[in-house]
Amino acid sequence: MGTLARRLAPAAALGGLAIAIVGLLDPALAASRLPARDEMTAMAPTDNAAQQGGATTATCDTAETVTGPIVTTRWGPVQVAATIAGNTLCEAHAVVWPTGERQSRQISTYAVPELDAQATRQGVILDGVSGATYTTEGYRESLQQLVDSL
Amino acid sequence: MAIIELQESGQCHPATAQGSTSQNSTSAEPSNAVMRLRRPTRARAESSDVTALCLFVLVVTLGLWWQHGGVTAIMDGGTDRLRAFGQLTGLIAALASLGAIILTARPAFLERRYGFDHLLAAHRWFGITTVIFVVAHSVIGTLAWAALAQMSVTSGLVDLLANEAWMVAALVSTTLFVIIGLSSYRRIKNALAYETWYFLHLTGYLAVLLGFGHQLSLGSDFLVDRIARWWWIGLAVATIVIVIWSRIGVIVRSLSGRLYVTAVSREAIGIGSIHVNGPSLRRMRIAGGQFFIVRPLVKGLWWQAHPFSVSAAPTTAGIRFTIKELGDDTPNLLNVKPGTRVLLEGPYGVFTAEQAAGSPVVLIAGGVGISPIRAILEDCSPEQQPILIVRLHHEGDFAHRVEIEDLIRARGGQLHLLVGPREWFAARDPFAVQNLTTMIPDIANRHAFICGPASLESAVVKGLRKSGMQSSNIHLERFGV
Repeated sequence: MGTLARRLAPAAALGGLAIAIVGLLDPALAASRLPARDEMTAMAPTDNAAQQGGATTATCDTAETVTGPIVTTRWGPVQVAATIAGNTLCEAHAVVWPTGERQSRQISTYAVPELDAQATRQGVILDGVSGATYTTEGYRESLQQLVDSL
Repeated sequence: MAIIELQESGQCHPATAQGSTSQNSTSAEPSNAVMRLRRPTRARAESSDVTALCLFVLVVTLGLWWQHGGVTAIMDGGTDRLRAFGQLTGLIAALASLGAIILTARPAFLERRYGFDHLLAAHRWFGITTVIFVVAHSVIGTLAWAALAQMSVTSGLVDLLANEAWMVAALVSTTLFVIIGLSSYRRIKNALAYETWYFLHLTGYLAVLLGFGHQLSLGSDFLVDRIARWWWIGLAVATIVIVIWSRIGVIVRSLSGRLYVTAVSREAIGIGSIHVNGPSLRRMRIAGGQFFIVRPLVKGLWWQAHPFSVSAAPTTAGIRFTIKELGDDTPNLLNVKPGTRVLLEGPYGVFTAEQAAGSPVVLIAGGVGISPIRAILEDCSPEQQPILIVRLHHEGDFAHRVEIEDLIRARGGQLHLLVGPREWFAARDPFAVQNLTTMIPDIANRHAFICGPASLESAVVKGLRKSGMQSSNIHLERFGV
């Protein structure tokens, strides 16, 4: 058994180290991921359509549309518009998103509708779309400022 | 994945000679209930089927990349070109890594067609491809990211690792691939104990797994296109199913077969036989020349796997493996007590008489290579007029001699002995064309089966080719490719 342990040790150490590094440092798993999102959570506990329940539907009929500022991200500008009824966010959608080069266009095609759905459902504290980190941040930022300006 | 012990001598496999004093005459004609086990079924997959499947996977994957604008981006130039190259190298690396895993899992549909040794040789090339393309993909991908974000390369890399999901995992994966590649470089591999290398190599599964996350979270081919995403997930799932079925299934089947050692016999100095039997043996299909990966389930031995050739036609009375004490662990194998459970994985290999399809054969063995050759001889018919050439240092090394002379006589074949020291071998090439054609007048009509040290195998192959034998008629099994 001593021989087995000796021959297993390098591989076990390597594998363990690999798993530990990924578990601690990878943004997909690390507990401290997306610090920007934590700030958002602290800043904006308001205006969550989901929390308002059925009461929102009536007031949303008379909601006004507000447009947030253009936020410049690494891949291009993001701007969010939202319909707000009183204290309630009824619906949000991007009006400007990154279209600079092929990759951004592809990502945006996928990410923007998803972000719209999340924002409408969750408000500012949206989950975000993996693979579209910067667009997500820009989206949150624009929506946050939109909410703050009310 | 089982452990294949690669012998420093480079022989077919370390199964080896049995002395002429064996009491267990398994080669005797069946008397009562002792019957020859059935032979393996023919391979179901043709080479063209396998080629077609590989091409299909490659064409669909690269076709999706093309359709997503990969080719256009490369034509157009700019930073998109860099990114498109990054995607291309990444796709090839991922496909190669899945291929390498499937090859080393040796699923029956591939093994019956190509043989374990060829699958391992292909695994090596798929593995090398994986490492090269993974490294290229990492470098190009980082450059492309930095260029698009107009950052320096260093801050681009930091940005990727700090902000993008599964990118730390991807970097760890790349590192593992590089370590696995380096440890398989022959000089480094030879410096490591076999199992040390093998366990390190197993981290390849982890490397593939860790690399998968970023393919789905950042790979734009699979982010945007739903069909492409499911195609990619489907490939991964298919690979996992094949690996589980082939690697874990084989162990479960062997364990449930309740195979055990019936006898261990010392045959000569440093040589002995292990006889194995059990309830599941009757269901097995084995041909002479095939081998098993043998693990006696006793303390200190269960984790070491040894490929051993069957040294006689397998019957319902049992299988016989003959073992020469080569490696540091082999002697212990001959000390296992009768009744010890064994785990048999196999049979493997296409080094069987079936390859000759009934044509006349010439069998050439060097030293310990006589073991599988003896089993192949037993599977030959008199119509195949077997000619056996045995190369030995001393006549006393001729294992299985009595059995082999009986088998040759029963088939009306011929036996040529080439006995002499190594220097003699160097001075007078017994496998030169005139010598071979003297021993084998109808050489062009025959199939050749060769097992012995690598130097002998290459000398024989060269001689046979020069004597006009087609390379498709020459059969040999190579480990340590």
